[in-house]
Amino acid sequence: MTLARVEDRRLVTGRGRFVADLVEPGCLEAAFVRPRVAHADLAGLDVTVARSMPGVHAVLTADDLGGVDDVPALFGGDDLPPWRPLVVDRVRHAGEPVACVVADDRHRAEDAAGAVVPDLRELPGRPDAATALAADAPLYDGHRDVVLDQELGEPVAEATWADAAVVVETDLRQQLLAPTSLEARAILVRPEPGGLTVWCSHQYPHALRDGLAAALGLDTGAVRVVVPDVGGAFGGKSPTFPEYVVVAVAAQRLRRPVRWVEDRTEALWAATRGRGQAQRLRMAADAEGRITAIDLHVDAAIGAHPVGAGIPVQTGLAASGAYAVPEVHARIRAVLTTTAPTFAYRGAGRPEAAYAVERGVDLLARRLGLDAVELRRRNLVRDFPHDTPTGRRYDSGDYAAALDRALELLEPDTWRAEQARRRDEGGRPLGVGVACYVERSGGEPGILEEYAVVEARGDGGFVAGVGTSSTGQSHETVFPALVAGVLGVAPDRVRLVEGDTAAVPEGHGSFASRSLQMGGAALHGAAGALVVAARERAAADWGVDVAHVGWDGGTLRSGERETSVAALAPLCAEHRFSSPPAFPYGVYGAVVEIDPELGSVDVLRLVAVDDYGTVVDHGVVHGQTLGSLTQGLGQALYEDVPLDADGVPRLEQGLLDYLLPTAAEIPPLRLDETAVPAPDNPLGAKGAGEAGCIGVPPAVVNAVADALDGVPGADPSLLAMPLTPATVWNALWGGAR
Amino acid sequence: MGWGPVKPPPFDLVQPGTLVEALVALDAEPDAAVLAGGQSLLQDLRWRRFAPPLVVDVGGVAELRGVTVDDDTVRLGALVRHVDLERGAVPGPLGTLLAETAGWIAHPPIRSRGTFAGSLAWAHPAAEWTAVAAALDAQVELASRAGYRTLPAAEFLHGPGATARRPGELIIAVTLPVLGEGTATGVAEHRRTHASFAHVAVVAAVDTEGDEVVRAHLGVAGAAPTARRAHAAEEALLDGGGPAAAADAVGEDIDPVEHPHADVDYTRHVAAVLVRRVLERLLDGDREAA
Repeated sequence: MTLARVEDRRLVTGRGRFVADLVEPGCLEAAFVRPRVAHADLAGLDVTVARSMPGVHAVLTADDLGGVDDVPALFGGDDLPPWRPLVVDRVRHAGEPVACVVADDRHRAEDAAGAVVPDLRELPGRPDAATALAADAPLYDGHRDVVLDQELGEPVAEATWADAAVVVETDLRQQLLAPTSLEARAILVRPEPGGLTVWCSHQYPHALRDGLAAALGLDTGAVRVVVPDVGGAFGGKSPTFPEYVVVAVAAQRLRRPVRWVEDRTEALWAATRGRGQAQRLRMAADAEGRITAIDLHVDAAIGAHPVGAGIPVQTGLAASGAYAVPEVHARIRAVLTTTAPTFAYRGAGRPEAAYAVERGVDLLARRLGLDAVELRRRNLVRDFPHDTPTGRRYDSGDYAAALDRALELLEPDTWRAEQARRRDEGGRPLGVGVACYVERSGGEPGILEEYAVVEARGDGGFVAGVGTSSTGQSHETVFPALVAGVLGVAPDRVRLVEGDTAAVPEGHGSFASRSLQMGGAALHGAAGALVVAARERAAADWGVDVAHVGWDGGTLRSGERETSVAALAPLCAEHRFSSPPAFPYGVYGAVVEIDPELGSVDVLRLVAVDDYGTVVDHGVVHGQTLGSLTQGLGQALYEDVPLDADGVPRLEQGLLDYLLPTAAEIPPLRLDETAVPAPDNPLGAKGAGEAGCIGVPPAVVNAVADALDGVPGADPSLLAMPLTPATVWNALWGGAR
Repeated sequence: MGWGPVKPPPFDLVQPGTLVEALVALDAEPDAAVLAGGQSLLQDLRWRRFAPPLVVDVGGVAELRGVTVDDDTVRLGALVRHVDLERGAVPGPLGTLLAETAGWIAHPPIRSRGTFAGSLAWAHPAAEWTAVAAALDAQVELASRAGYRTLPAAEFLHGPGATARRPGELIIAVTLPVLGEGTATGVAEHRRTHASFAHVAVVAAVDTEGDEVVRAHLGVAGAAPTARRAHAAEEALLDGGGPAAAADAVGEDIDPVEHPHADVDYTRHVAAVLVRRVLERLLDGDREAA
């Protein structure tokens, strides 16, 4: 089934309503002062000129935030350094806000922000985990730099390494990525008597409600968060950001609505990053190519505030990949660095794991002289549920079937023949790469539940409320149809309500590919519960056994009696769905050609076969695959936040320096799905949002490494993402040029 | 104005209708910025890279429009846009070169805004037009209330964002030499995505008699603080060394700076490869290059 997207007419005709579009009388605009140093003592901050400038209503600094609590930590480690909404005495990443100007309009706010004079005494920075671990003093006095040090699985026995036919070992790098949603962060706060109404471009409105209430010392019920149209999030919009706390404080103090719309420059400098791992991988296999051990050590550069310190744990949890491996061990360290906070970005820990494991599998295959696909096939998990040594329970699947389908689409034999011809006769190096992945969708304990309510109204319509919150995932299209399907009514009789904490009392938002899996399942349950409630009400009214009351598309019948459910209004039913996580999986393949002189990589074919469990709407799922694989190409080939020696981003030209793939970069695609239902989900659904980000990077890098294999003197171990032409050229020459 | 994503610093705006009015306005404010296409100025204003007290929008100055072709030269008015050249506003081999070059500049919305003269005024080191100007010894016509002067590209282009243009001066036109009917022209460019800046761009115009190269114009952008004419490479070509010798020699013509994703050695290598490829294409009919 593919439904026409209900939201498209509004969005593509310029009638979407984003935070920046809201018309709020008397609304002031905020701009932040963001020094472009990575690490510096803030010895002074002169705001006198700025405060006197025309149209300026307030210039807030840390001194003005005495009664405001710390920025809420999403990560629950102990001994965490405090995160103040504005810098108190030390800047710890480039772009960290030291002051906030609130003015009549953004122009005046920017003018005054430019007149704020911070007195900065620069300190050496620590741009990556290795530098941070070698630093003399901690980044925060009295707090450890290693905010998380966690082992998953048992350490691999020495005998396993010793007995292996082959052991491979490699260092891998996950560059920092900017989760570049079309709309950056945005918030509008309107003070209310005793509370706040907040409009925010956000993934998790109930958490923002709770976070702002905690920071400002308000009752949760005094804060209402409304999420209007959102121009993408990709993981970067679920925290309660310091800027949000400051804007809320400003609105309270000034008794005026205040808005902040992050611009692209701010987003590239100061918003959260994704990835950012240094990995050390060790893998062993026996002579038949059975993987006997995986050991993965991750040092994650977590940035100056450890809001995302839990993300790299996902990498350890996923360290088995798609394979049945007897011994798997991971050690994950999250280390404070002088960079913007590293947080969730589409995939959030799983792309990092898949990349390591899938690069390692190719290395094993080369060392064993085995075909890399065959080696994968020999190790795929085949029996479910499957418990991994690092603590995951893979729920269901037919991994081998996905591999078979991917090979049909990839046609590796044809390309191998062409590769051999070129190696004999000359021609651009050509390579074929494959990657399998298993990821986790739905979330982790604490958010593996979702709330929904369905109400029958007197006008014959239904209102469906759910705790998810769309940032572009087609909820308006899919959810009403899903509810309508259960109720047996036309979809246009069901209106969806979400993204408003006043309208839906609880919820966990949209991330971790959880909307359909968790929210859809909750709606499914609530709609079913409404049918039961309606039948019970009718049975009571009619004095008959509920077993004798039937439901038919909103009409209740028992014998000769008949009533519309509308006549029973108000009638509503809630449902709280909870389940273990689900484990989507798939197989990706890439064929690449390299310009041997310039190092440019041309992707000739990209194959994706994903299994998202039962697919409810093929159009939506296809869109998710396209979007995520494009961002996967971004990580593989283009995107990177290059840093100077202290951690200042080298992104002077914005998106001319941070290169995003566009439609012109999308290679020829061959996409398909398999659909093994999720056993723990009433819809059979698994999450579909992140696959391409996980599968594409290892498939592309494996293909480039394969191409280099045929070039005398080339050294594939020099490949690191993004595979810029200069990087590939250097690897082509084995680092000798 | 209320809030908005476009948020330049405050400035005064004048929109002169004649060249004289434009020059008077520029004369009155030495730090004025000139707005022609706005391809770069508007972006830099939004970024608050600088804060000109006055912006002089010359879009309405009729004297700056149009292309004038005579026997020896083609004069591009300061308001001639990339898209005009892409669509063939200039005839002959020069027009072919300009059209091919224009096609490499950013993407269509930008080509419909930006101007040839504005690109020279901005002097981005990787701008394709600066390579054309350097290769062909373009003459940059400057006007001010004090009078007129003309500078060759090599004297006009100083470095990243820096030119010989003085306060009060306006580029009114750029003059290029007409290329002979037999001149072969071509562009080779390397960049990371379709919409990104050139990493290195090479433009070439070559005349041959038999197998002998008798005239050569080579310009390189992206491999020095500003675009340069590749004299050493041209010399190698005129000496009969062919594309390979020109590629070897271009190293003497350039002076790359380090980029986050390209070190100096790589950039030197890319320049050499592009020189060889474009010349092979022109001289050997090898259409596969670049």
